[in-house]
Amino acid sequence: MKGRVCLLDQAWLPVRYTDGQVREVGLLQLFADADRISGLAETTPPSLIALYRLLLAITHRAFIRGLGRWSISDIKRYYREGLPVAVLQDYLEHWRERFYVFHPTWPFMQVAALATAEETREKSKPWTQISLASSNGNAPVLFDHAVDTLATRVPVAQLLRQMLGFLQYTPGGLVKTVRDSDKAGPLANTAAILPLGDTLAQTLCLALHPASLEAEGDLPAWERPPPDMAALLAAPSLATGPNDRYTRLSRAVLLLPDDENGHTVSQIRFAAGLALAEDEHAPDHMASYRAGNTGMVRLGFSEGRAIWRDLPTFLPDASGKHALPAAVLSHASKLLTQQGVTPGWLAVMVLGVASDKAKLLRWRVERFNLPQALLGQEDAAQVLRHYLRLGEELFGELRKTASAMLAKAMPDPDHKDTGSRARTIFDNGPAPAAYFSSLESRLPQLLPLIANMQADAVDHYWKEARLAAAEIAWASVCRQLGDSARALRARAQSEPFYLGLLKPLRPVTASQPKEPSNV
Amino acid sequence: MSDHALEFIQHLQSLAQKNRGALAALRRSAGFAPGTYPPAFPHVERFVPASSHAEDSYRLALYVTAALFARHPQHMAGQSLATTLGRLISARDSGSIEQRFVALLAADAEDVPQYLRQLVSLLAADGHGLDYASLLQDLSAYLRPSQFDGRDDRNKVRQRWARDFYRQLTTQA
Repeated sequence: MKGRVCLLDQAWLPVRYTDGQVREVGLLQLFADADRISGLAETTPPSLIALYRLLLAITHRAFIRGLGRWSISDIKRYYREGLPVAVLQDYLEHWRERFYVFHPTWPFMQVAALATAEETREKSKPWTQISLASSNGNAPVLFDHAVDTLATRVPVAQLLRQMLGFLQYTPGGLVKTVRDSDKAGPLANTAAILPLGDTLAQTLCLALHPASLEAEGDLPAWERPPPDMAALLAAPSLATGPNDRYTRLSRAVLLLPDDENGHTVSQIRFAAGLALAEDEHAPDHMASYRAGNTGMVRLGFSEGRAIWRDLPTFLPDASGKHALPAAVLSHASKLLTQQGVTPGWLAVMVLGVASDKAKLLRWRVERFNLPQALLGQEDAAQVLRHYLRLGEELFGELRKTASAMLAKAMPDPDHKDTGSRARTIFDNGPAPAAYFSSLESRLPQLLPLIANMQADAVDHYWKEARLAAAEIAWASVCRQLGDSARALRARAQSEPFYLGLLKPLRPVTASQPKEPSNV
Repeated sequence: MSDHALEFIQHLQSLAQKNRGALAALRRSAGFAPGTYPPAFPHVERFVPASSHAEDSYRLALYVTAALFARHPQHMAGQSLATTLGRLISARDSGSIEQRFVALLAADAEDVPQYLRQLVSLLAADGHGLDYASLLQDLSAYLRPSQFDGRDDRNKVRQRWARDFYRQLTTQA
């Protein structure tokens, strides 16, 4: 146990206290102060959600150990009065042995067998292998341009946080040790959603998965026997439940301390992990699903698409055709309703990494507020779905008209490739962002209107919002088009179609402006 | 429409009826840079505002308009140049007019009189009148150097011309 780096005492979790102070604490301290901590202060999205999931698994197991089964009224009390710190600390002390980073048998969230296994005994890799933000091997660079042949030393606390994020988000694919390839982590390509309370204690209460009958057998990684090489070679297995998903060793990692103190690490051993088989009947509690071309697809981050455009995916849908919201939201909504708080807002954070095969494309954290009323009322969710669809449809039409205009301004407008080139130019131009960011700015007013069922006001408001968004987008396409004679011709020819699109959105009483406002 | 512009057009119309020599001088002035042909001065210069300098865009526009009017003295209020051209193109069923029009849109300020002269000749051949007062105002904006005040009036005029022209085409199609 080099340096006896024990995560219960060692400061390794960055947290923000309610007074604004940010510092690193150990697990015992974290639970003791959970009422005074506003949230985790980790900055990389994958690690941030992985840390929350780790804390949820600990809380869940501690409650099972200390309370047996518990009901929503217990959680209600904890939400109001704070977590039962004694129960949590008792649990952590009970498993203290398993929270050492360099334990010879049970290194925390690692596989000790790699030290002796034939495949990995002689081999080590730089720590960047398990850092999603670092360039390593053939993976393209996301942020970091360092070379990984000469690995630097990294503080163990920092690496551990990165490792937890990596285990959750590792894209599937090549591993080449023990097995050739491996399954992806539980959250790969997922925009995970997490309800947030005012304090860490409240957040944990809101997001905690309920104690079910099967929960007894759903063990986190540290409560399981240490995996051996046979386990790493085994076929992918289904998750036993959320605790398993939250702490799955989707890759086998063993950190190698640089010295006796174990404060820094530069090399690790690495191999395929305990592959996770996905079961569509047991979705991740933090993942939402939306209707795709072939059945339901997991909501992830894609291209420049902001997550609010998929907002209805987080809301209840009785038909089950459009969306399957993350279970964690319904726990939170139930808890808040039981709490009897007057309908208010629920802050949620959506975060994750998007990847294409093994290439990481982007990561993102978004935070927005949802009216509680929307989480409970299916008909309100239906209305929101309708209005957001109107926004998307107008954009579709605008895109068609604007692309046709761009094509007319290009040489050989009738050629079959010109149309698709024009669409690409439009998609990569400023117009889509202009359109959707303008609509997004109207969202905070739209949501309460829908939640309060003010049908006329919603209709009027959203028409106005779409009109404004379309005008901004069209103006930016026109700027993109330039002012050559050919561009002017294209613009003059396409303008009637554009004005036709907007006609239904304009107030009936107002007269048409003499000059379109895009000059 | 400003009264001043209308007054100027009325003056040109009266010249067309009573003073054919003046009209000939104005027609001849088209061969020179606007505002540099002395025989045209007596007919135009009285309408140049006192505060204008020699290269003022309004002064230049007066000369260009006068030369165009002399070539085709048929004023018809409300019929902008671009609309009339749009009508001509469908009457003649000729694609070359559109090309000439696009060339006009792409033209620099110093070439505009040249292109306008060709287009007005086409209109004259088929007897289509146009609104010279609005042309005068458009030209005054078009010939104004835009790079200094950032107002980009020229672009607005070009957009209006393009819109008038192609709308006329679409409504007839």
